[in-house]
Amino acid sequence: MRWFLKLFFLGAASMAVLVCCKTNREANRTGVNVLSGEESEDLKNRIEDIKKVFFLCPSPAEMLGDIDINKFDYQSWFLNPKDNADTYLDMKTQTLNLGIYITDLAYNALFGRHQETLDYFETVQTLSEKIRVTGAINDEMIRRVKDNAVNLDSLFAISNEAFMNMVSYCEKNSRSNTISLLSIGAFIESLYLAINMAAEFQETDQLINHLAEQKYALDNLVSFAETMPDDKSVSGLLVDMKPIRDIYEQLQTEGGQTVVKKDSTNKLVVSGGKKIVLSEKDFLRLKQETGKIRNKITGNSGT
Amino acid sequence: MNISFIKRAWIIALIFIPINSFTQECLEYYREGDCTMDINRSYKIYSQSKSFMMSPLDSVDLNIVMYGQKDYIFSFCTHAKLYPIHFRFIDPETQKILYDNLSDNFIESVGMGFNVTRNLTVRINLLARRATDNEISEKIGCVGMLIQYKNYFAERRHVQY
Repeated sequence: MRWFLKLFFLGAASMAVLVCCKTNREANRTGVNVLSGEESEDLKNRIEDIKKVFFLCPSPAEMLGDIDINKFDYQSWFLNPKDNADTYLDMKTQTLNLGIYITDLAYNALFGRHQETLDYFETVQTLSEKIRVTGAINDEMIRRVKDNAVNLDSLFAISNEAFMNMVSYCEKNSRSNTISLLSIGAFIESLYLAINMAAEFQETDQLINHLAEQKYALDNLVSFAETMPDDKSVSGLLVDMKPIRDIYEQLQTEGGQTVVKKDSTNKLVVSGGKKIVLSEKDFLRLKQETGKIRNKITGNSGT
Repeated sequence: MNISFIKRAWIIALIFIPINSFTQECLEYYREGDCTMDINRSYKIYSQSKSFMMSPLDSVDLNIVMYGQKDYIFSFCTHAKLYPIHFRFIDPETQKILYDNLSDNFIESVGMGFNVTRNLTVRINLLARRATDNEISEKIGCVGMLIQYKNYFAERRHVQY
């Protein structure tokens, strides 16, 4: 009996050691050498072929916050109605629409629509609990929204915090696919809202530039989603997004080299580089395809 | 029954099991570690701030989107023995190094302004100069990258009712 117990505990301890060493060994096999010639020989010798890569994307509030909102009027009819939330029954639809709603929440917060912000906060809270992302929005946050009736920066910050909490919760619980669906839903809605803010196409418009530059966020979202090839929900969504990806892939670029300079305060200033150009034809195609996928996700008719 | 042996076995198991779940402890590190010393109230925390676990044998690439017409503060932090942190900003398209903190003696935070929106790869290595060879091969710790931003020009938002 004593020997059996000894063996059992020795086995348990060995298993624990093996489990925690596995990740590094796997990473070792799949890595890429990243050192350049200018680095010290010591560092070169030390670093093994291990490389971890993360693809990150701005929050919906940051994506919409990049637009000069003062030039536009608040248009509630573009938002996904709160009542639709009850009609989303499966986990994939709920997660995608949570991304849609959290973007609508950010839109309300950016326009300082206090009551609407509060309403969408409650919808986001309900839907996040349905997909078991609990605690991302709690009663304390709702109270802060209520208390910040006129403080726009606080509304913006709280809506951003809600999204970051959700991502953090999913990371904690190894739910990368949820992060992917949530982020893609948020991206589609921010694109949809931005496109519909532009009443007509003007090539030099800041909003048109913003739409073109969303290629960078899309690239990161797609690269992140492609790390989950076995997840049918994520890979199916990538197929749905293909028309939008195709439009962005064939956009023309112009401009020259990136220049980095230090200013008098020692701050690095990055200027130049390529500029992505969105033509009127591409804008109209993007508007149509974004409307299609957005309405497919929300279950709304029309574009 | 050899109680002390059982205790020892459990202690060994408990020492190692939490290391595997340590990743989770790192999630908020950029809000808790040395990075907090750089928090500037006139800036907002960018959602692409990130914490993760790495060892001096790893190399980590973070692909991020930087919106134009904004000033950013990048701050990097880790555990005492894992400093200095070597970070480089790389143009993902050309692989050209835009900034290498080697040129600033491995400074831990840097201010940066972007005139136009672009993507950026942040490549991180830990030099762990205060660690022994054994510690370098065994030590693994949290690393935080805190990004704060503010617009070049003050925002003039108005409430629409």
